[in-house]
Amino acid sequence: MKTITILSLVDVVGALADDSITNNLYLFDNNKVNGSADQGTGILKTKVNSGDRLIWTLMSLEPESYAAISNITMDTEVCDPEKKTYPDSDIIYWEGIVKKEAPSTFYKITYEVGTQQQAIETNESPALIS
Amino acid sequence: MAQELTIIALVDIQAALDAGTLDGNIYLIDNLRTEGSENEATGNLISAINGSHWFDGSQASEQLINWLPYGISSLPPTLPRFYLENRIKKTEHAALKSYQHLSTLLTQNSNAATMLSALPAEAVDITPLNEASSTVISQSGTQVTNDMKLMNVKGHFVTQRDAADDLSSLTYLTPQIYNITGEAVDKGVIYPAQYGTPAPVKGGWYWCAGVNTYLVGTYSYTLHMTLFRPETKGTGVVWVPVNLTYDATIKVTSGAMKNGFTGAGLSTLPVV
Repeated sequence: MKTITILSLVDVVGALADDSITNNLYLFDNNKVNGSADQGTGILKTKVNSGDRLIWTLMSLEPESYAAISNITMDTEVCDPEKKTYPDSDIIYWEGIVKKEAPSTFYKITYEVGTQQQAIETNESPALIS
Repeated sequence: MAQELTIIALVDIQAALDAGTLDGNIYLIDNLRTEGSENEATGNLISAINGSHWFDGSQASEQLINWLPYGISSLPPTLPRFYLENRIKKTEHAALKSYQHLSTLLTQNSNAATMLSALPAEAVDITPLNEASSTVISQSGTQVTNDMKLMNVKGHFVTQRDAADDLSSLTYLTPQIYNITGEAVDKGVIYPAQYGTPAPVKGGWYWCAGVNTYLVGTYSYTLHMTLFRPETKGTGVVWVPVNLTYDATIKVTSGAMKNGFTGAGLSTLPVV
């Protein structure tokens, strides 16, 4: 059982200009050495085993701009991510335990970007693979 | 006016330390994709620096590049700069309050049962704080600090034993750039230096370079970085510095700088 961090790097200015997260999102995890693939794209495939703890974090390309993960949807039989905040802060992360391994579980992440009221969902789908 | 260009260097720290190289374990991303940067979010980023002249043919001002290194498995930089320190203070305050509450109970009421029943709500577990200290050493092996608290990626203090059981859950110390050298520096294309900043982004320090956009061409430069490896020594955790280098590329083109809003030169702004 490992802790795997899945980091969303968001080009907030680009996403607002394009009104789309496509091409303005780079996903990374710290499990490439065990088989994760497509690092730095919107279709990151994170290699997971049953029992692994997944943490979704976020940073903006421009440190001053605001972005946050507002939702993650996926097959809840595989993993049911929950919204959490870091203690003594209002900064959000999402956490989920891999309940069972599945060959490819695609999922969607929704982002709040800048001052935009409407959250933006990924068009592309990252995935958990096993 | 110079434009601020950002290059983020994301490091899979544990993998880089295990492999002894940044090759394949570092990803470079800049905010110049629309200006023509190539290979975003890979190890082979070529940052496009435009602007040797204005649309009217006059010499453009220099551009500024900022390098910001981060670990993938770390607390995100959206948290306050002194998050860890503030958490320590807060936990200690809570512990003192709990102690004060206990003393009050003891002096006011000798009934042990009442006292104990009041404890669970008020008592603060400071075990992680007591057992979470780690030591950071310098290249020469001398101690820099012995009071670096261990925190996991969820912002909780962890004991050394917990950290050793699952290193992947640990927030690694942020990689540090300690020099930038190479062709681009030797040829006078970039003038890098470390600067202080009041912005709570990089611990008050960051590396920045002015780019002489007059020198058109593709140039390599070398990032010198220090990663910190957590090692268990006796009953403690020691952060051992490991220096690694990585070659990156910039491409200075003769394309004119342009206004991001209008796509035209910088002299005119959109009329609202």
